[in-house]
Amino acid sequence: MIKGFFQVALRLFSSTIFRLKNVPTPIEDSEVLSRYVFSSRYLKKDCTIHPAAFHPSPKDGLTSVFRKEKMSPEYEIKIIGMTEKGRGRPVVGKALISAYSIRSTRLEKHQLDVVPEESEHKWHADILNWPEEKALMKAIAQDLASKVIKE
Amino acid sequence: MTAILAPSIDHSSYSRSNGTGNLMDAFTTKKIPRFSSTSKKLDEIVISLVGSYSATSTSELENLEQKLSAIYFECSTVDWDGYDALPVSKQAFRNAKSFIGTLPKSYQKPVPVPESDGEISLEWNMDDKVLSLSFGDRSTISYAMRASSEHKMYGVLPYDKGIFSSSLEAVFQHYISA
Repeated sequence: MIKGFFQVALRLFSSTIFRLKNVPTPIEDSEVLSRYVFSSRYLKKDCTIHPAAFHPSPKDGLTSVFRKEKMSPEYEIKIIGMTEKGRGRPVVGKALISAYSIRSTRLEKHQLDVVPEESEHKWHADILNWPEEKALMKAIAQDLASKVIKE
Repeated sequence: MTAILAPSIDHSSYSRSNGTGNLMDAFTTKKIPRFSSTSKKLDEIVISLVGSYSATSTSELENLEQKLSAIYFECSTVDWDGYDALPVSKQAFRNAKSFIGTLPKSYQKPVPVPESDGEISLEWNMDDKVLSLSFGDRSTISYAMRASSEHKMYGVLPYDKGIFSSSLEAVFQHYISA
């Protein structure tokens, strides 16, 4: 009983601190994330995605996602518009995956993680800890693609 | 989708020593006069339109080569995927194209997919199983196969142009039997 009270109090305290400090709230395992796809080459005929859609950017080694459940529908439309403008091309698809699915993807010593990264957009996050070895990266991306949530 | 990977493999059909030439090879060996201007792009367009002149090409193979060419042209600039992807290299295109010419005829034809590091992968899907081979500038193939959460394979294989090696055959057999 007392333990439960302290847990709730601690959670409320941390979320208030995060809000006050404007620090992004940590991503919980249950959260669903959106990976926007800008190239139709990543889309299969059945409207699912190829695993390559999850490969990290060669620029920073990260896979960019958005925290779907944190965004209001209006904000998501705004974000899509902003990213389309910034990247100069339309979003052609979207893959949904849970944070747990990302974090539970582990091969050899590589375990992916997803963390908030809001330097440009609120509710943006990055999938990190990708291996440099291409074959291993492909295997991990295949795992991720198999865990995509079917709407 | 009617074609599936062959359950038994005819070893005699693996090694095809010819039949995968293209117009770019002809240009470089001066068999066909080359335009004198800075015609790199034009050469590429010609290859795109004409593709392989292999006499052994089936329509399915030609179709696959056209898809490869389309990917090469569409993805040969930086940031083609909106996430700072590297351009698909000409060598990656050539290696992938050369490989499909060595595929045994009875095999299911793959789907070509560009990758953010500038490589081209050839992907096979059967039920929930996936096999993907990546071709880049080097003479190696990075592969990954996933049949289930418990059954995965990945690694790097040497790639000799024009040869469907026994190690590749082993990967395909795993994919089929998994």
